[in-house]
Amino acid sequence: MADSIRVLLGKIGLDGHDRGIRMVAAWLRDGGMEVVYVGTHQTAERLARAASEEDADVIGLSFQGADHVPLCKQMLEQMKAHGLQDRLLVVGGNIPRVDIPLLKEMGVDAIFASGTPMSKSVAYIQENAHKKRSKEAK
Amino acid sequence: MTTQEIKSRYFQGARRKETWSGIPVKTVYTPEDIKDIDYARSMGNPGEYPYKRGIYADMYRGRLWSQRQITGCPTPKMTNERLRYLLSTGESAINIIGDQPTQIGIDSDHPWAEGCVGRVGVCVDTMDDMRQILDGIPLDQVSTMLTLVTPIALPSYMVLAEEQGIAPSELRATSPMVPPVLGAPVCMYGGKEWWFDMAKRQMKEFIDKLEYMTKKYPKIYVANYNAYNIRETGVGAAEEVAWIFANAFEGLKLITERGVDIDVVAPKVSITFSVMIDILEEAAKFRAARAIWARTLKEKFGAKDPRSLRLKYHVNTAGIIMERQQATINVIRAAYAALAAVLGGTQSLQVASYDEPIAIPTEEAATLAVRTQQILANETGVASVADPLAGSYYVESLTQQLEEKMQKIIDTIEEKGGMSAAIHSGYIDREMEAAWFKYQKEVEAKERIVVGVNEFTIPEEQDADVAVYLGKVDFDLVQHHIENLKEFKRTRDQAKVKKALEALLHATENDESDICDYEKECCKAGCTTGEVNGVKRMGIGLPYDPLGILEYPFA
Repeated sequence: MADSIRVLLGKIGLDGHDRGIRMVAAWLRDGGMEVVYVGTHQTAERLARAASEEDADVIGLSFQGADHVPLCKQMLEQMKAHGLQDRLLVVGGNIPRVDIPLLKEMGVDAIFASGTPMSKSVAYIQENAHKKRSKEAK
Repeated sequence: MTTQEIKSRYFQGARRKETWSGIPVKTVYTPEDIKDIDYARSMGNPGEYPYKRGIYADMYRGRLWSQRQITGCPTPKMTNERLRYLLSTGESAINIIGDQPTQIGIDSDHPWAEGCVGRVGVCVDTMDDMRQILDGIPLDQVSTMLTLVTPIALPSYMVLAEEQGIAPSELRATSPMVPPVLGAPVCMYGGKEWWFDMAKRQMKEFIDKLEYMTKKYPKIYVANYNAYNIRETGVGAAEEVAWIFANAFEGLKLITERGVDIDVVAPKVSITFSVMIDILEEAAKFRAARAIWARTLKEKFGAKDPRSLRLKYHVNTAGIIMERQQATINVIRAAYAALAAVLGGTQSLQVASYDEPIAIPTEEAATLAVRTQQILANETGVASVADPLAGSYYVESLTQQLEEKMQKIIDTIEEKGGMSAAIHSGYIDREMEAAWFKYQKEVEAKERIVVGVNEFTIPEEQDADVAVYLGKVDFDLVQHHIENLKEFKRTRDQAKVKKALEALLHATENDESDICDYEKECCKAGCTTGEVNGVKRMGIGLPYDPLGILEYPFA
């Protein structure tokens, strides 16, 4: 399928809680997407490089360690450095509600805090993954 | 809301017909369900083999469980304030948890630590941090659980006790000291090659430390296995117990093969379990676990000392049952889970704070958690009698089913060559993934109701935010801690640090049996978590920095 959605998932930083993101990976695959899960203990730079190499439409991160603000900042910087501003950046995990507007303002496209139904996250990605790329390309 | 909805709610029956872990549950249990259980052989009274009914005859009448709340605020000073506060509210023991850098064995000024320092626990870089955390706490009076993981935690604790003039025989502590095969969370390190590698090579050090502690520090329990993290991945009650037992048995087998008496090491082993919210299944789980432990230690390992046969454990109420939505209702979840732990006969308990899905607990949330324990211990009546659930047709039947299931899983893992082989082969990972996928499917399909998440919900914008223990102020304090550490590293006696590290390096390389003494010297000399961990890694042939960025600073 030419327009299948490619998603790169990983965890940056030291937090090793990977249940959430691995479940998301399984769920997205179940929904027909191509998923590359690069594992825990990654850097933003490594993730951006992988997203570039894999030609990912979406980058997905997960945080349980309360370090989402500085690490999302790093990720956005690296996405810019690798020319990936047209890719969707989605974030999940233990994100306090007070931080959601802040993350959005920084440039994170969507935040799926813990407890969000998988079907909702999947639907969002399905709808927006290509839209953002084609919009930015114009 | 329509009248139709109200009416259907009125006639709604219990929806779930299986336990949390998926064991089918009948409508009613009768004597028929327990007719094959022989009381004397398979149960016995509390305090009697196989200890299904509890490891002590008088249980909580003799001594209540330790009420120890996991504590780790962003800085050592804040952690000390919280610990003292909790003790003042009536907490009976303490439990300190480290932040991510500390747990992985790197310093707060490591480039990768940025944004992670003091976020999910306290940062411990030096013995001075430990000194500050424990300031004003009499170490001979308190029982301490060091969930810090850093290699400097326990030796620092010992040095601080020496400074206070406390006899080693009086020091009471539990520490998850990287036991063989895997002591660390499966979900965090499982499957990582370096972890197996390190665990294998640290086998001798582990045995040496066990023997050292037995002789010099009889009340320090260094072999604490973590089943909590296994359960947090979403697997069932039987898997939680069976996997950690398979892990511990593998370690004990290796140790006894080296000629160490089982009755020297087994009494030092303890487990940290999770407790979920299915009250009767969880109580049955602990009862079944005790019987399997006792039987295996006696029949397979030939242990004779009752202390080897009694399963000692600490319980954390599960984090996985705590939800972000309508977070205050987590108070109720934690209370039910705590009840299950006590009905199951735990020796030690941490009740999670209701704001756990969001942040490090506020003082208010932490207080509620301590009070939950106190109400349980003093008002509910469940502490007055040993094993109050015994004889229940359902609980006994469930206990037996769980016991059989656990044993089957333990046998399966043994056939696969033990727990480390089972992890290596990907078996454990696959089981976990299947379990959490199934769980999520059930939640999405509403086959499993989670209040506030998929039923009885309120609009997100009406959901009150609990006070968040994160923000600019804390971040400044953390930054200050990092600056202090850098300054400390610049101004300390470098020659002394280098000498202590080199002595530890050589001792590790030569497999010396008193590594603990070298670690204590390192703590005294001002060596850091990253340095002690790094040098110990070098001693067994691994790179200094677990993240492969820093070089050994005194080369």
